[in-house]
Amino acid sequence: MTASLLTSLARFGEALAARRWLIFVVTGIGFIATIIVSRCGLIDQYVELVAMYVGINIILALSLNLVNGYMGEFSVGHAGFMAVGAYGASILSVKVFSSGVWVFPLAVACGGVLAALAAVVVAIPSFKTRGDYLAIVTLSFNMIVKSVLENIDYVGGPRGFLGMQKLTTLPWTFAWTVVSVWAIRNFVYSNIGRGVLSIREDEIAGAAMGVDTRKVKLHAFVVSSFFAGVAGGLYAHLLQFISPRTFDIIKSTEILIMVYLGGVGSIAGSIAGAVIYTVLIEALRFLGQWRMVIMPLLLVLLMIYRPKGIFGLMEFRWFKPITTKKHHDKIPVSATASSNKSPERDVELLVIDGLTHYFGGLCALSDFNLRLGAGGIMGIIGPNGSGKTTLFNLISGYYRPSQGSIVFDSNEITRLRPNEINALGVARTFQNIRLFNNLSVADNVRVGMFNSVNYNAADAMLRTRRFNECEGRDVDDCVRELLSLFELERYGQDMAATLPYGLKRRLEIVRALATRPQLLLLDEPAAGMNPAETGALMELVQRVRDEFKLTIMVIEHHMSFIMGLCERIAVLDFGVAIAAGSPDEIKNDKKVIEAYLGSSGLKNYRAQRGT
Amino acid sequence: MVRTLLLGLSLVLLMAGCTADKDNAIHVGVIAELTGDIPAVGASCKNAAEMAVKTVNDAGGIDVGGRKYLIKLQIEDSAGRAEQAASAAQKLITHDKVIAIIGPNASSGAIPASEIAETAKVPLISPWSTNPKTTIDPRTGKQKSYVFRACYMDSFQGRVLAAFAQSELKVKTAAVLYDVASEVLKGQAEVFKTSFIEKGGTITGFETYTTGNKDFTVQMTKIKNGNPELIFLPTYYSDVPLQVQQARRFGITVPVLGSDAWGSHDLLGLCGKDCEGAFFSSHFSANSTTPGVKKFVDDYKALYGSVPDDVAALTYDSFGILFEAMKKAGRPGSEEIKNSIQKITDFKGVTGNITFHEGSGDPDKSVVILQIKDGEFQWFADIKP
Repeated sequence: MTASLLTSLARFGEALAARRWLIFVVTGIGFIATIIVSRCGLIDQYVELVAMYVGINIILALSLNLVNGYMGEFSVGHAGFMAVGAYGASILSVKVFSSGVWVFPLAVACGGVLAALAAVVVAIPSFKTRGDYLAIVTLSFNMIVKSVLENIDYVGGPRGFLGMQKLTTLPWTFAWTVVSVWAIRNFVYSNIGRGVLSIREDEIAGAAMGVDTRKVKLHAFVVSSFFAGVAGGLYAHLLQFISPRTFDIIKSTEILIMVYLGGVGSIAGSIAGAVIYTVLIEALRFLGQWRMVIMPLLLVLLMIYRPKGIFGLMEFRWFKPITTKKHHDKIPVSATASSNKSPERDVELLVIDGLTHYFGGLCALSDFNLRLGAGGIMGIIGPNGSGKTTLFNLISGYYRPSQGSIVFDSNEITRLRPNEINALGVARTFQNIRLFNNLSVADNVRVGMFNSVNYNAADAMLRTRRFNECEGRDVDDCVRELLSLFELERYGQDMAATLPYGLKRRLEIVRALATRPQLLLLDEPAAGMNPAETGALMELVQRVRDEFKLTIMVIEHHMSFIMGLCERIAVLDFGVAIAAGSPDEIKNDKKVIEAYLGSSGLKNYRAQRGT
Repeated sequence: MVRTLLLGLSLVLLMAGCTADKDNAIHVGVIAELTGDIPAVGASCKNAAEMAVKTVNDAGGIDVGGRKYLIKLQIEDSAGRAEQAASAAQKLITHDKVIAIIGPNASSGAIPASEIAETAKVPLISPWSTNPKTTIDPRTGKQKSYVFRACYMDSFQGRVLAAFAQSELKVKTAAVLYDVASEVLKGQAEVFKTSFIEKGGTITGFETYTTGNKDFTVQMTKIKNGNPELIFLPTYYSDVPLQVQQARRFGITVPVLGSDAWGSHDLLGLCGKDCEGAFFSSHFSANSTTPGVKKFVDDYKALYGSVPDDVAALTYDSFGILFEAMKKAGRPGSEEIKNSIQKITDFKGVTGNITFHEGSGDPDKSVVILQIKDGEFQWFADIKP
């Protein structure tokens, strides 16, 4: 009985989700209904009040979800932004403008803008900090806002600020909620939104794919705070009274509860969380004191059985963009990929001079020099701990060298950040695969195209023509072609985490290619592969070099791989380059053999070879 | 979509909470901070409310216009949050059809709740909200018609304390040390200073500190140099012992005066002999010898096993005011009760004699002055300004 009811419900939900045009019908009817209902007093004022709380809480939950759920940071002081918006909007409506129909939306929007400005202040320390530290930064922000407001007599100090008209009505709340859902959904499903997701999944890999993490964090904080500020403005004009105490840590915690209850990284989750929390708080009134025990208890149970919340990392289909099926005129990716410059063999693409790096007292790389011409594959070999990955990390900007310089394509890149280096044309893969596991295979590749789009966050949020053209044609086609070129097309919508090992390695290379590099750094691409897989990978790397006309540097331990693929090889031992040359030269180099086999090994080796 | 679903859902959920209206019952709502950051306040309020209603109902109900009515109490939690106080007020009015509301106690909840009560024309009495803005309509600057309070305000307290110092303690100079982080205490200190100077006194020192400070050496040195006849300490009871002890160590032996922020029995244990002889103002004295207070304290102790505090006494008086107004209203309606409260004169409550004046929700009442004597809070005087 219940089972059949559930299946029919699920079928109903499926049918509903498939009919996208219903979104407009529901929104339109909803808006008209809220106007009629509030004008004619059709519903009880208490229910109306709770409904407005729900709307405000949806905006708050969405706003926090952008930072905590989508970006994976941990902001715990969101009430601070709400306070800025609430006070800003109230000052405007009470003290600056006298009256007029346009006052309210303008005041609320200005409150949002003020909160967004405050966000810039918080975003800057967040460039440096993550996790616990950011939590402390936002917590402090919340406390600072509260204390500052308590000391400004102009807004009533700790006694609070009143005098606002009751301008927040059901239709206004509905309208702002719809706008928030729409704008945040558009933000998330855009280039910058993918940047936000890449920070959550793997900030280091994101930066390697060219994601300007600072810009992305700033945008996410600003958008998030704008809507928290809007919610504050609506709140202030609903209760007609705000005091600094209203926006304390407890308020921030309430928003956190809604986000984690409904589900992180999900718009449907934010809506569900806000609705459930707000309605339960009121509906459980009959429990008296126990009400506040039941809510946290529910949350604890939820965290045990569904740690990401009800809709954690899932989305109702209405909120997802439609994936376009139409094909456009094909622009070959291989052509666009290296369109910036046609490589010439005799131009020096990478010049490294006296590169030295210390970890504390340990010299990981010492006076490394390299002149790498465009085209071809270069191998870097050496025993474990010889400084190979350190070299890659220095080239791609993860470490700042202690000494020396790196010039790529006549640009000094020694002190640039990873995303800037990537934007100049250096892409890399990682020794231990760093895919964006909770994103689809196609989205992994899309993140790689971060710097290939020509629209900004505003275009994305308003879904302008520029956005639609760029996203629909350039990005989608490019991704589709890259995936089909490397036979990953049928996995396009699968989560990257679900791919088999070999395909993960391949996807990482494809993702790096999406950034349209001139130089590709492969860090042990064949690690953990069997001989057959290694052979397939060799073919793949050769194909990449030929079709994309790239220069490749590869670190590998599989000697067959290196010897069969590379035209030049450099050998590192204890941070020092001990040899460089063609595979044949390296094979017979005495120092190399010694480094790999030890001096006693060398004797055995010679004995075997009879030399 | 969400909105419509929600409306349906909340309607269904909330229907369960509706109570049937009976002819011989008057519904009164209470909004208390049962959960949140000040649950002790909510608990006292709830206890006193239940006790007040029980007393009336046990006596057969209340006589309004020649008919006996039982009082039906509906207690709602505000969790100490502004928005929950507002929704509680809205629920009590629209769903439970209460004719009057007692509470919330904290001003942050009392202000938004009073906005709703005023709009719905339902009388609301806050027992404990001392924020002047609770009873004032911010848009017109006039007093709200339906909103009252049972306590006196900080400004009133500061004035009364200044008068007490000058007329009863006969001092002409005083020094003040207060917690600048608390608006309430800052207000008391400033009003005290103004009133004291107005009546010809001199303030020799006006020192501040911030919540959490433990060392008052600098302030005490300055106070000592002013050589005052009295030190006024509008500070929380937890800070008082250190301040008094440090003052005594500096050789400041003059009388000490405090405000209602002293009113916790913990003070006696913490301060010991040093606070002996100090005076402070209070809303209520549990060891007053007045028969009304004695009966209230005994009944409360019998019911709940503890001595009633300010909030309990003020809540009890809020009900007292409400019942008194009902008896004279002639009809159990919100409008009549509001008019009747405004006419209350010299109501003998456990926190003093209370009078309301037409057009004001703030009572005219006496301030209780207590003295710490023999390790106990003892009633010293009731002062009217």
